[in-house]
Amino acid sequence: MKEQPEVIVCVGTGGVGKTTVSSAIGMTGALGGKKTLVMTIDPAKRLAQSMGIKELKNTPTPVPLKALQQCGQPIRGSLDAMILETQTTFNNLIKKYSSSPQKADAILNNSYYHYVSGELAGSEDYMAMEKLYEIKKDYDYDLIVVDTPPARHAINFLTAPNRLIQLISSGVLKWLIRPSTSMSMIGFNILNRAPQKIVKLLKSYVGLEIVEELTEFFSEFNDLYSGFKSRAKEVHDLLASPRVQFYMVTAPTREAIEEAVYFYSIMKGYEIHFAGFIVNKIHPLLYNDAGRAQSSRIIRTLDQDDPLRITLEQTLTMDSIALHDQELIAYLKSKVRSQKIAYYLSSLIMDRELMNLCSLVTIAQALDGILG
Amino acid sequence: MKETFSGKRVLFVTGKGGVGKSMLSAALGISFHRAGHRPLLVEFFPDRRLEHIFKIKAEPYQETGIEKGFTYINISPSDALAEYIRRQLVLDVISKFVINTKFYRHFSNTAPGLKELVAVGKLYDLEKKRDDEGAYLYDPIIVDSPQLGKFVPFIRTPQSVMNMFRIGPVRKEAEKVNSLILSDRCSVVIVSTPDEMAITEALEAKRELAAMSRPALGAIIVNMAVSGTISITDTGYYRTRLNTIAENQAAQEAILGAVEVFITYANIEKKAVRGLNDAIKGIPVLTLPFMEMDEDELSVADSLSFSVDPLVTGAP
Repeated sequence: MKEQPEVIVCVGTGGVGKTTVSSAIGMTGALGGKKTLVMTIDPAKRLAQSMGIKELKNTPTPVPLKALQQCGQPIRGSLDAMILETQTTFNNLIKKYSSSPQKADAILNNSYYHYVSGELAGSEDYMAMEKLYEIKKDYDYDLIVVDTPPARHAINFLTAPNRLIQLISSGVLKWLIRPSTSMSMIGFNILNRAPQKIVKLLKSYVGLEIVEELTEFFSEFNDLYSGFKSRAKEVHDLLASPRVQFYMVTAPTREAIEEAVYFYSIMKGYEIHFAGFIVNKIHPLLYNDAGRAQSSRIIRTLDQDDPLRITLEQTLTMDSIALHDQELIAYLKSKVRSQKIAYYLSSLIMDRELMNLCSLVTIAQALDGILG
Repeated sequence: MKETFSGKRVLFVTGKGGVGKSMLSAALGISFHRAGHRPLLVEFFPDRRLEHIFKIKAEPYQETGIEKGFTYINISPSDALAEYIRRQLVLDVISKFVINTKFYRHFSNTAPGLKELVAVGKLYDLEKKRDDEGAYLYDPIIVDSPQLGKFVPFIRTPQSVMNMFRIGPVRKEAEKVNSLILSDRCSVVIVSTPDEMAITEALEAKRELAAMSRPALGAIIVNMAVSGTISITDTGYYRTRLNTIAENQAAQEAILGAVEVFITYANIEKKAVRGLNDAIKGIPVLTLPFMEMDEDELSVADSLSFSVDPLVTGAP
């Protein structure tokens, strides 16, 4: 029997409509009577507007589902939404794991901290997971849907906690903190008696400040290491639980489909529960074979600049794009095991219309069969 | 339309994910080349979209010819940093030693912004290059840039680094790069699609750019529009016409059904593009047709290059 997921994580590359799909999945939960939360990373305020919220915050905000009455939907559950703010989440973690408020302030006020916390490889991915863990512990949602940061390679999301931990525990930090004792460990032994000179050169040409400020930053940061490490393990365990299901959102473009196939091939190496693919942005087929032939035949009888001919040519172009979509989907299907069937969502029209709660419901209804 | 990019040395092409940013960068490159310019196409490692489109194999960080007078480079941040260190340390032997140490590898991964700065900084060097006659070697430089949301942080890299370093060589490097990016020799092209979400994001980006004052937004390209060619959106017209031409009732209904779906798209799209035009004043908006997805990306880029000609040559 398929276990009811408590958390659904949507991964995928940019431009496939991941945020919209995540919100629609959240809507299926709310329509099904669940107390639901959608966590998004959407930097644009567009999604919040579509849900009737002025601005999303780093804490759950109720979506006014009353508006759904106008599209004839009975409201059974509830829907909250929040935005993941990497910076705020990171700040809170620092405060939590610092041994004293003074130490926390030392880090938070370090001139590099703001830059590093925003730009550090994987910090966005990791903070998304961190926030999920926190919310899961502190609130009693039946369903939490997580929209992950767009990654060129969706797998980054799964490896982020480890990468961050590795960076924190890497040799360079040890060296920066105790340069005299650990220097030989990290490669300076080859230079034997000359290391200080090289370091001096590097310092003076790259900038003295950078090394000194970083030393200060990381020696404070080192304090948090064990806290971070055990926390990362708890986050990892949550992700590996069968109550957490992963969906890969993709779209029918060569790039996105190849990425999905790639994700599927290496995903097996991770302890996660993969629930399936959602192929978004599929163009509808405009013709069947007979209709297509008829249209082509008529085109040949018309003048070049006949408005009917121009329009019919466009319908055929659009139709051929839809056929191409189908080929790509067939390719995806051929590459994944039968029980992990690819699921499709045809939503181009929705995508182009003004998004509002009712249009989210329409997408949610299309998704319902998939998630059921 | 007058030459939108006249006097512009660097064009940053950006847009929401999946809108055809790389394809349009390629098309702009082809168009400039055809107009007698010597464009350089730039993308950043690990992306290799442009390499794929032009079917070329380029060594990372090496300027590679696509055709005579048409060049490509893939800038990888690690190579850029290695080059920077080499230049700073002068003595090649020492720099090799430094670059091969574990310390350097860790350092280069941790030092905030340095790699990103020198990657953007490579543009500064490329922009300066001259040929034997003293003319610019690359004109213009077309940069397939990070997608919207990451774009403004990308062009603000030198500024962020300057905020952290008040003095020293890194500060100098950042100032140098910043002087190019924030000059009127640079221009930004936003690629969008004719849907409301993408257009809203494009307009948000426009506001963010306006807040920085430079680089200025040069043009918005609305890609993959189906509505460009449709002149009549009244289904009654098509019904009447088809009534006299279609072989039978079933064929007529089938075709009419297809036309109706198409008109729905076209109408929604027209509304979105009109919204864009209303919100944008004095900046050219170019709408490009929905193209059949050819397996051969180079031929797609080729056809699109004719569509972007008005921005490049100023022809109507």
